[in-house]
Amino acid sequence: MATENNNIENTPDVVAEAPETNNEQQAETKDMFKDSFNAKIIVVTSGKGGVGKTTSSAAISSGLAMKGFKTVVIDFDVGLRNLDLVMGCERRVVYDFVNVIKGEANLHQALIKDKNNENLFILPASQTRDKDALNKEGVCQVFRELDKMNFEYIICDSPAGIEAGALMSLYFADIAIVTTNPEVSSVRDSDRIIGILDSKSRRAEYGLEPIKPYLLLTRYNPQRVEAQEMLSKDDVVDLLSIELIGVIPESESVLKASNSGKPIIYDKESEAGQAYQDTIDRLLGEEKPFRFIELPKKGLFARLFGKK
Amino acid sequence: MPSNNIKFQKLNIATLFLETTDSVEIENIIKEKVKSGGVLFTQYPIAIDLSMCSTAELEKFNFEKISAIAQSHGVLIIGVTSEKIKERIDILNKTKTRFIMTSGSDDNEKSLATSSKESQEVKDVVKTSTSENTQEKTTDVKEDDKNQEHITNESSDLDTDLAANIDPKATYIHYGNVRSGTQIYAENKSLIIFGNVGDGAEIVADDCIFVFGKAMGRIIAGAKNSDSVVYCTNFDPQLISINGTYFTADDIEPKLIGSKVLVSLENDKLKFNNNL
Repeated sequence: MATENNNIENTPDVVAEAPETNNEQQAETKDMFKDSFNAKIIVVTSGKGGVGKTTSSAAISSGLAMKGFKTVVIDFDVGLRNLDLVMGCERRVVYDFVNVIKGEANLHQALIKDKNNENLFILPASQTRDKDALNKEGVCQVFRELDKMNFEYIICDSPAGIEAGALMSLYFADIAIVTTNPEVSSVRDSDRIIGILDSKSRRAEYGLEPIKPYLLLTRYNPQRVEAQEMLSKDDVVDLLSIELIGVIPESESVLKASNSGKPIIYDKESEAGQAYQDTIDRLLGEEKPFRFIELPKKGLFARLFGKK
Repeated sequence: MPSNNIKFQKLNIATLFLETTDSVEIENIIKEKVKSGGVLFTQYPIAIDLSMCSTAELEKFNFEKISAIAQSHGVLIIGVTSEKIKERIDILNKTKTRFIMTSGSDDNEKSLATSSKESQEVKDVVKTSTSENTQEKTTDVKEDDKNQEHITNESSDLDTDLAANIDPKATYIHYGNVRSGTQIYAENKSLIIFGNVGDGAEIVADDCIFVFGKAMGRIIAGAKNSDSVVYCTNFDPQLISINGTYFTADDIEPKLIGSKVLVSLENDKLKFNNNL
C-alpha cells in the first residue's frame, strides 16, 4: 500500500490553508466533462480483486434489463477481459471498447446483443491492448453516443486496483456499487476506493453532488460470521459508513453460472441469484428485508435429538 | 532508506546525569558504573547530561579529557546535553564540547510528522539499544553535525515562531469520515474530525487532534507543539504520535482500545488517560 501512495499522491489530500488544487484542472478541461448524461452510470468497483465485481456486473445489468430498462454493460478491464465469458458472449466478439475509442469501429459494430435479454448489450474490453489505450475524452464520447441510443443504464465493470483502468471506470459514475467481502483486507481496500470516489470522480472535480456509494456484501457466510471468523454485515457497514444495498451469500451456483455463461440472476433456485434479485429491487427504490444473513434456526426435533 | 545522506533521526541514548564536572570525581563515577552497570556502559555509547551543574562548573568542563578517561575504561561518550541547552551553547562551544540538542527542534518534528518510513527505521534502532539498567534515565537525542549552526540560530526563534503561527481560534474541522489513503494536514492549527478515521488514513496537525468517531489510522499531532494533546472517542489507531514521540498499535495497552482516551506528552513520554 505504501508504494501505491507514492505513485498517486505525495502531497496531503487536504491541507487546511491551501486552496483546492482541483481548480487548476478545471480550468484546463474547460467544462468538457461537466454536462451530465441522460443515462444513469453505475460503476461496480471494489479496490480488492476477486470479490465478485464481474459476477455482480453481469447479474445487475441482467436484472435491470429484465425489469425493462435498456442497459449496456462495459468491461473496463483492458487486457484482462472476462465480462464476455461471464455473459456468455465470448464467441461473438468482433470489435471491442478500445476499437471504438480509437475510431476503428463504431459503437453499433462493437455492441453485442445479449442472448438472454433483448434490452441488454455488452461492450467487451480489448484483450490485446492495455489500459493506456483508454482516455477520458474517448470514454466520454462513447457515453454520449450511448445516450443518443437511448440507453437508460450504463454499468461499468471496473478492474481491481486503483490505477488508470479503475479510475477511468469510476470517473463518470453517478452511482457506485462497492463490492466487498466480509473480511479485513477487502474492507480496507473498499474504504480506499470510497475515498477515491469522493475525490477523483467527475462529480468531485466539478463540485457536483458526489457519487452515491452503495455497499454490496458478497460471499457472505452466516456460519462463519457466527463463528467470528468473518465480519458481520453490521461490522462492515459500521466500518465503511455507506448504505447497504445487498448481501449475496456464498454459493456454489455462482461458479456454475460463470462456467455456463449465464449470469447467476437467472438461476431462480440459487440463493445468490435471489439475493441479486433483491438487490435490483432495492436499487430501484423498493424496500426489501435482507435474506440469507442468518443461520437457519434448528427445528424443535433437531434440537431435541441434537442433529447438526 | 536514504543513502550517503545525512538525515535527522530520533535515537534513544543512555544518559549519565552528572552533578560535577571534576575529572577525578567523574572517573570514579565511571569506574563504579562500569563495575555495576555491566554491559550497558561498555556496549552502548552514552551521553552526559549536565543540567545539574552550574554555569561555573560547566566552564571548567574539559570534554576531551573526560572522553579520554572514559575511553580508558571502555566507555564511549558521544556528547553532552543539558536542559536549557540553547542558553549554554556558548559555554559549551568555548570548552570545545560536543553537544547534543534535546527535542524541540522543529525540523525533526516535521520530518517525523510527514514521513512514515523513517519511523520504522527509528523504531528498529530503538529496539536494539534500550536501557535495562533503570538507574540511568534515557532521553531522546538528535544529532546532526552538519546542521548544528542551523539549529543553534533558529532554536531560540522556535518558541516565538510557534506562538506567532499557531492560531488557537482557527481549528480545522473535518466533517465526515476520513477514508483510507487520505492524508489531512492541519498546518499551524488544531484538527477536529467528526467521523471515523479509516485504518489506512493519516491525519497530521501542528497542534492538537480531536476525533469524534473511530480513530483507526495514523494520528500525528503536535508537529510544532509538544504540549499538544489527542482525544478520541473510540481509540484504535495504527500509530499515535505527539511531537515526534510515538507508539504503534502494538505498544498500546489493550484496555485502551475502543475507549475514550486523552493522550498527552509528559517528559517526552506518551501519557494515556481513559478515566474521562
